[in-house]
Amino acid sequence: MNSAHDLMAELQRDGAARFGATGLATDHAGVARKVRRDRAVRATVFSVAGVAVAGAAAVGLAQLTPTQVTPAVTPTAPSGGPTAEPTPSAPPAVVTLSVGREDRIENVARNLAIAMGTREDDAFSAITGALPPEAGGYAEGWVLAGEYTLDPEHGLESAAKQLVSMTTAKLESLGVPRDEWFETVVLASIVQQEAPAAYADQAGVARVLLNRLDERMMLQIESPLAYYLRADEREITDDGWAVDTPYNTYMYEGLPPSAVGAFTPEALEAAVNPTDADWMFFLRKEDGNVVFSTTLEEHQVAVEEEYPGTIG
Amino acid sequence: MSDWARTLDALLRERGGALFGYAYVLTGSATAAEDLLQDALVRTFRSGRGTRDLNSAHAYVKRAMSSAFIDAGRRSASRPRTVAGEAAEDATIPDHASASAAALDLQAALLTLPPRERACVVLRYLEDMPVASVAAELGLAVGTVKRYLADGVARLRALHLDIDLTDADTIPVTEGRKR
Repeated sequence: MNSAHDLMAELQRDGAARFGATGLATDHAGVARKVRRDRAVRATVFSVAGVAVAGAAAVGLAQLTPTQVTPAVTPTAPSGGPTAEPTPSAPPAVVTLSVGREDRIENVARNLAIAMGTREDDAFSAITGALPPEAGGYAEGWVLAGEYTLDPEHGLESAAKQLVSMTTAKLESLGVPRDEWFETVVLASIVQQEAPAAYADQAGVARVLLNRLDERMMLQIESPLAYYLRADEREITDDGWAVDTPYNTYMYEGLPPSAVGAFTPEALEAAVNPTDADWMFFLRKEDGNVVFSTTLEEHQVAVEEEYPGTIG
Repeated sequence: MSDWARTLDALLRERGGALFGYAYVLTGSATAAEDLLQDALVRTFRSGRGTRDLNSAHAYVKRAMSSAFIDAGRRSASRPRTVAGEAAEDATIPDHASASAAALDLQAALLTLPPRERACVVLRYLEDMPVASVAAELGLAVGTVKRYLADGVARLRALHLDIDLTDADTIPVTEGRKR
């Protein structure tokens, strides 16, 4: 008589042997994509079609505005002119795009669409299509805050590349290894949100976040949750703190799954070169400065000093 | 590549077969097993819990499959069960060469069990799990698991398979047996 265990084990081995023939065994990009998408539902709404659409968008743009595209420019427009981003030769034609600190990527896309005279979702797709593979399809955080001068004649795809290449160039010049790009961008975006003032010690905030990650403490910061709940546009209700999302750093360890907004080159530098210290806490004061503490007691004293009555 | 993506990659490379095999024993079909595994992977890695090291990811994914499997059973309880359909679908796949006739008999028999009984029986016998662990894995009460096990085993016995289903330690059916 066969034992039930042996027969089931045989079935399991039989099943395991078939695993190699499944799509999952050879390619789990679909799973990874779903996970990323679920982790940041909004940020990736258009990203699936992004890569495919980006090329089409540039072609479409060229076809829609045939009179503006001179024959000399035509060859570069559909292909997007990858790196050739000449300084505008026809000054009247250029447009300026301003990316604010902490801007969401949707705002960047909207402004890009207005600047280039295209549809907003095409602009979003173009940005997604211009991302380096390290971004994993998340556009958020990959356009640095600042002023950009764009030439509509070079097409949307080229403009999007110009925006994103500023970030990648900065990462490269700071010597960040490619496999750390994603985390660095996420970290910088949080540093920006937590210490937005130009004079705030952003490198210190980066250090606290890194120390907490190293200690596997939860980050316990508001900005990712505020980003997820769009609390910059409305208030977080009490229920908001209980929202089960990886952006809730009061509930989950580690960095949130994506950046939480645009940031300045200075915030990126702070994330790459954090202060050398053993701080585990920081407090943002009313005046925008940041106070750091190593122990919870020190932190509570600082909180009580700045916001009397907060701790009972 | 982020932490979870690395874990996902390693998990599928090193444990993919085992996880898929477990799903296959539960569902009795390669297609359903792939769906079950894929959904469990998405659910586990989306939550971000236990996705840092391989062993905990393995445990989480397996648990996600177990609970999705019994939940799917609960949701479809109001609709006619598709046991016959599952079995028929599987019969059309002619690559059973590696499994013995006895194993195939057991598979067919397992497919006659409702999902909860099936999950309990599989965890108890395939994984040699104590009843308490089965209960924890499935999020059911210990007494409930005992009842599912007893009912499931009784159903399998009724089919008069050439399979040893005794288990002196924990299966209530054999409690009174003297050695």
